[in-house]
Amino acid sequence: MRDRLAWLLLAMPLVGGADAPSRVTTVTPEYCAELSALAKTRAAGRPGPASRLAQEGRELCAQGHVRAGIHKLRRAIAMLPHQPP
Amino acid sequence: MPVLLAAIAERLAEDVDDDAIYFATDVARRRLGGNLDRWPQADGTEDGDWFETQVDRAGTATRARLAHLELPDGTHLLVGRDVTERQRLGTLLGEAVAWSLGLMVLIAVAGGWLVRRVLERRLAPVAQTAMRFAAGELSHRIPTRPEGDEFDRLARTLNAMLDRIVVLMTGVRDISDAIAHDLRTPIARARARLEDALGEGADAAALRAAIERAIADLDGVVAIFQALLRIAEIEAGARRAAFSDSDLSPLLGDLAETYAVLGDPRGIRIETDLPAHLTVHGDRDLLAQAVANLLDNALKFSPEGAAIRLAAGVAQGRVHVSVADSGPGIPPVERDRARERFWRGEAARHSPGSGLGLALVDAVARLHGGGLELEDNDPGLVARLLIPAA
Repeated sequence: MRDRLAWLLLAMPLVGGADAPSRVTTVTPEYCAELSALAKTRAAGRPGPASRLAQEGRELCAQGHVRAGIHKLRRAIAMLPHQPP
Repeated sequence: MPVLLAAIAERLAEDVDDDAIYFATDVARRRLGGNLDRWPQADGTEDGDWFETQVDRAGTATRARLAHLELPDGTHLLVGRDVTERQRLGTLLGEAVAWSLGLMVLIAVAGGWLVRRVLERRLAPVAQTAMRFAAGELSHRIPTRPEGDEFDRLARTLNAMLDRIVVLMTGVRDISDAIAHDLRTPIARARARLEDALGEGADAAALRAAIERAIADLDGVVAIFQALLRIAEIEAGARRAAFSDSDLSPLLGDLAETYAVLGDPRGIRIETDLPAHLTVHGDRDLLAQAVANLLDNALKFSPEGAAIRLAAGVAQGRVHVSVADSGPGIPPVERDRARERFWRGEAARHSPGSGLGLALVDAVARLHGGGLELEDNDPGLVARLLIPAA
């Protein structure tokens, strides 16, 4: 009985992991940092609303408001041209 | 593949709505890029398939709708978006529509009930009056309010109809009495003449004379019946189908000439004041009959050597045809009754006639939407037939 219980406890995380849904990776602090770097690169030498948005996004991410920060950073990136000035 | 992964990264970086999902894998469906950590729970999908699956977005389970594309190099790409918000919105809209419909049905049912109650309350006096009237209580009428809304207008119209029914019923009763009274005399006279002729043992010539006089009396009875039937036909409106536009002036001229000939032995003249044309919309024969009745009365009651004036014209949208005589006239208090069947004025008691002439003129005028006016001519009477102009 004890052996069977131990086997079940070991098996549960495996079963749970297999059934768990896929996770969206673009709502994490890591992705926030990735977007922050991208925004910083594109906003370099371009002061303006986009740079201010990017800065606000970075600050929100730093305060733990990941989704709000990512949203601001994305808006900033969408406003910035892809090529450096 | 690096270009594809860069494009995916770029799109995700600019996904302001935060609902895009991209996922690129190798042939063995191992992650190469995108924003899912692994292949979702949708085994068995093939190239081009659309499917829905559950994904974990920052610890919250959401629904995603994805398309599975198999690229030429055997790699796989999932493209789609988070549909949770959309589904939530759809549910919200569905619930709003359902609540709205429910509320509308509720309001409709309540409104219908309310309208029904109001209608029942407002129409109850109408039904009650109709029942009492049908039971013989002819004086009862629907109560009306001074505010005068649609129901009050309906009540007033129905009351007018009931008044008219009472008038007609009274008229029928009066006519029955009048017929019984007026026809009894000529019939009794005819019977007496025939009885006398039979009792005296008269010769064939006397018998023949008595029969001829009796026939003349009975012809008078038949004429009264014909006049009554004609008035009834006119009042029923059956002649309205024969209405047409016609010029009344030549007709009036002909009537004036005819009655001038009839008045000639007593030196009575017919003076006319007629327009060149007088177009009316109506029954030409009935109008001729009405004017002939007026001229006949004027001729009957005018003194020898008098003048009768026949005038016609249009004024205030109405055609008027007037016949003025210098006879005894009709006292003002009796003018309303003069239009009734079998009414005979004091001056007419000892002259031939049935008392139906003015009744027929009045019926013709009302059939045409007009009326008959009777006025003093100082001395005499002016009878004016009024009908709407064509």
